[in-house]
Amino acid sequence: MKKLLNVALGVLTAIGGFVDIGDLVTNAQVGARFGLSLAWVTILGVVGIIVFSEMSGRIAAVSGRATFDLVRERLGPAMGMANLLGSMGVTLLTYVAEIGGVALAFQLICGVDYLLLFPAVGILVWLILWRAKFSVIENLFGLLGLALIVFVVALFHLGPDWSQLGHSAVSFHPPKPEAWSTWAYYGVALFGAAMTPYEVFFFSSGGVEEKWGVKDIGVMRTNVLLGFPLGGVLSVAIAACSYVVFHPLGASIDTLGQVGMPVAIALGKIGLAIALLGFVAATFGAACETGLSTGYSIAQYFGWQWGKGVRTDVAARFHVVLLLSTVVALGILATTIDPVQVTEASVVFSALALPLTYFPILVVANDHDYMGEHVNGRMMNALAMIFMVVLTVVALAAIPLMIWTRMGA
Amino acid sequence: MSACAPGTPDEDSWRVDALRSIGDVSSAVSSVQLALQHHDRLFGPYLQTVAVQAEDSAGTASTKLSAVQPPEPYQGRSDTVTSALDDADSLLTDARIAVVRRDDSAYAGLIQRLTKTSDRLSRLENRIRALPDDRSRP
Repeated sequence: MKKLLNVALGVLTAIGGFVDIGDLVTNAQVGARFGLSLAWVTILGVVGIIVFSEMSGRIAAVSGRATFDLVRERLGPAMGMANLLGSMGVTLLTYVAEIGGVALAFQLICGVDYLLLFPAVGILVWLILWRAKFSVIENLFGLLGLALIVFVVALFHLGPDWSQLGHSAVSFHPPKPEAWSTWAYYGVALFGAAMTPYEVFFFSSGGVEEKWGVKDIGVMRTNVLLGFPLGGVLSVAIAACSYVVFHPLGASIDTLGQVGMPVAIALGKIGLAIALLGFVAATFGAACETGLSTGYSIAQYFGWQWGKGVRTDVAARFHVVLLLSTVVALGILATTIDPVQVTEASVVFSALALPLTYFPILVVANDHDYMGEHVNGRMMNALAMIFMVVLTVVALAAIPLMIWTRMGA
Repeated sequence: MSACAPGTPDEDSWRVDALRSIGDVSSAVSSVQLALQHHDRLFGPYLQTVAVQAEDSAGTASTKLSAVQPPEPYQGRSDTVTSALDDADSLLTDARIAVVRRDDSAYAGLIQRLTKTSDRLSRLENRIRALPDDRSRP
């Protein structure tokens, strides 16, 4: 019974924790402009994150060590550093976006400008990273993030033309008058949002924090195989709601306030309150995960003591990294840069860093010395290789598309 | 001194900038229109935030375009666009003032004006999009 509850909790937190500010904003933007014509990218991204999360979770369960720890050891300091710099840059940018996202969500609740709120949010996030238990960070926000299911309910209440939605989902081209290049750019952004590197770092480091062993591989796989696809359903529901409400108006989405409006229109204030709870939980949870991921990656690369289970004075350098990354994130937000624009940039740069992040995981997952009998099978390697090709194409296309389309204008 | 002069883009570039600004302002107008239509389903601070952010977003878009000196053949068209964007900005300011004051009685009139402005921007966007090929190729 206890094991079943653990599985259920893991699946629920995987669903609730799947969506972050990048998913919220990008899915809503894509839905409003392109309908569900890019839903296949979300599905592809979900399969990709399942493949690489399973691999990194298995590595953590078998070796008892997290990603960066093994990447440096297996591929050497130079490759490890390249991996660290690429992934860390994106994770830090995502951290900025998530803290800004929490502040934007609070602005929708209290009406106070986010510029007055983000310092308090940053300090609160840091306090939680410093003081709260890992299980609280993982479970509380993950469970509260389930509130975003309200988008699925709202979609049914909006009473869309389902055949039109279905037609949009299978039309693999941009609706008029959108250009192919813009459509492709948003496809890259959506893929980057679904496969954000920090998700894998947090997942594998979390496995080490929770002391996964070989016997936990089954539970881990269940969480990944059930939780992530259902989290993907939330992403598609957000896009579909935006499509139904904003596409007929020809309006694009630039703010978090617009993202929640379809829910309010469909379900009134109660629905909106639930959506706001979901916004806060999703962004706050992701802020904690990205903050921790910066600490995890740097500490693991340099071989420092790290983790929430280790006493603060023993893992002092890990906690200093958490503090410094929070200060840097707050410093960037203090420039009054729009958090939504930071989010837009972070998902595209995520796409750029994907091969650098995931290739080392694939190498380690194929190493018999680390993995023993749990090394990747043929099927898994075939799938991973297909994804490596996709990741490389996406990474190569990201910046040219960004410049060509002027960030999707 | 030349660094202080506004940029003079080519015709295509101005057209792309204009379409982007009209699109941004039009989105802001539509969002506020939608929010006012459903104001009884939104919390006060939420409605206020939507109105304030729409006004900011439209203002930024208009300012960006007005900082670009249009190429000679587009001077007249540029004046039309600038005028339409300025009108939309003013309307969004009116909407924000009414929302902050919780002046529900003004909403019906504002919705009508926002609808008209949205239609006007839409027509303008279509006209610029449909310019002859020699001036409209991206």
